[in-house]
Amino acid sequence: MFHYTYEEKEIEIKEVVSEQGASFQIIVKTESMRERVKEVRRYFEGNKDYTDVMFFSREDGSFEVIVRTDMIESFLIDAFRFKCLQSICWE
Amino acid sequence: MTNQALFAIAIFLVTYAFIISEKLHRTIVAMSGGILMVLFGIVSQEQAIHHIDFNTLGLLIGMMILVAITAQTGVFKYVAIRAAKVAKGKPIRILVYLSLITAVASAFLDNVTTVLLIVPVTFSIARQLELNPIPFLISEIITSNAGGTATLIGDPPNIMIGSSVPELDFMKFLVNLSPIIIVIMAVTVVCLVLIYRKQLVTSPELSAKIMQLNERDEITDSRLLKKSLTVMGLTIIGFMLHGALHLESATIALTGAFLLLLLTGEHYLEDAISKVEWNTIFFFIGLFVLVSGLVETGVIKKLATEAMNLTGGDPLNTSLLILWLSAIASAFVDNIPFVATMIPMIKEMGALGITNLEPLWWSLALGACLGGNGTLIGASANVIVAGLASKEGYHIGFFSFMKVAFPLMIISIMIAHLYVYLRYFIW
Repeated sequence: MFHYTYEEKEIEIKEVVSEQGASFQIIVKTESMRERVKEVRRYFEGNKDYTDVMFFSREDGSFEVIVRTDMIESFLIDAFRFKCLQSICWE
Repeated sequence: MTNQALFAIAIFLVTYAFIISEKLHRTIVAMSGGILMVLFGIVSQEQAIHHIDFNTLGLLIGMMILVAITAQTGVFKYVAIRAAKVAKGKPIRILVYLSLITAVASAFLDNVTTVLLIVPVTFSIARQLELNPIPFLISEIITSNAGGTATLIGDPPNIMIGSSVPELDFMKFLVNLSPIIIVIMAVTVVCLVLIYRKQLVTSPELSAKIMQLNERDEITDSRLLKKSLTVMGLTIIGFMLHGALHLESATIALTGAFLLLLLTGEHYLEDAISKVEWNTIFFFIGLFVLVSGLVETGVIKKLATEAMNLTGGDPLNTSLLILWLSAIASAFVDNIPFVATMIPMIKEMGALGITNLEPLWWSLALGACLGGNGTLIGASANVIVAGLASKEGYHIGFFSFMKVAFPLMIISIMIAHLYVYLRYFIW
């Protein structure tokens, strides 16, 4: 499992893990962070795997990201790569 | 029967057996079968190339490029979420709306593309409603195959038939097939609701969660969306007019595809070309050459004569035989090779004395497309959805699918039977 940290002034992440995968509720607090989250979204929506990571926008501007179990680590690594996370490490 | 004909039959049957067994990729098998026809001298290379239907291939490639670019705009996700919100997050209504959207989209896009676009959103909606997605997925499979039957461009068997018979243009397909597909869709959706109504129950809180989704944010590039929808609209108008314009459907599809690329620029070219399903294109090429061996050695003519003897050359009996045979065969084997074999056979029946072949062509289209709903391996969309579901941890079993889908397929063929009888032989 990964442990990750993020800049709370820019983003807030709530994670719910179930048998099928994980659901991340993401609240972005700055426009630059919104762009970075959208970069992650474009990256996963551009690949040929249609059910790995699914992004949904909510009316309040937050995102819901549904991640398949086998893709949770990849998602977090890419969120880190696009600077949505400050750090990740093995727990 | 000549030795060449016996060789052709042997190569055809072995190839077919390998395609059905799914031991090797169907493209490798079909191409190998086609190459063997040439290597054994059953057809020359020139004859083989002559039998490849480039109109079918051009139409498929053109539509795949158009859809690959349009999909990047997020419009399909927008429509699905909008539908779920219009349904107020109520599962039964969502099932009905997603089924209808799938059917309409499948009529204009290929079925595999449609389910690939709609299934991921379905998983998400089902997960938010804390429901098992399988009822939605099975409904989408069935309605995608039914919707694809309605137009010339909706399903590969129709593309192949339309391409081989120039007088059957887009409008003829629409006029002859869409009325009965609307009836079949209505009956199918009612049956699906009755079958799944007890599983489709959720709480008001979870339904409210759907209403919080912002579908507008799914549109990732509104300029690209305008260009894509304009070109897609023009292409569909082009299909409607292609008979009057004396243009082949492939010309229309490729014009649409490259007009869109012209408008969007080379940035999209590589990605769009890479998303063309080249496996499918080569599968078609292999099949055309494989069947050419049977045509050139007179096997197809012999089979057509036997079928005519069986039905006494009566157009009604022949149409209904084709309808049911295509449906049952397509439920268990890939409908593309089946239709590739049937097309020259029906043409031969014309040469043997059936003057009006149209009811036979519509019977083949209805049987082959709707028959794909019979089992999990009956159509590519079925296999793709089952694969996606399995990746998500939901197993759609062969028999559990068949328990729902096979009776629905039989009902749809019974309706089609009545339609063919009434429309072409009574009225």
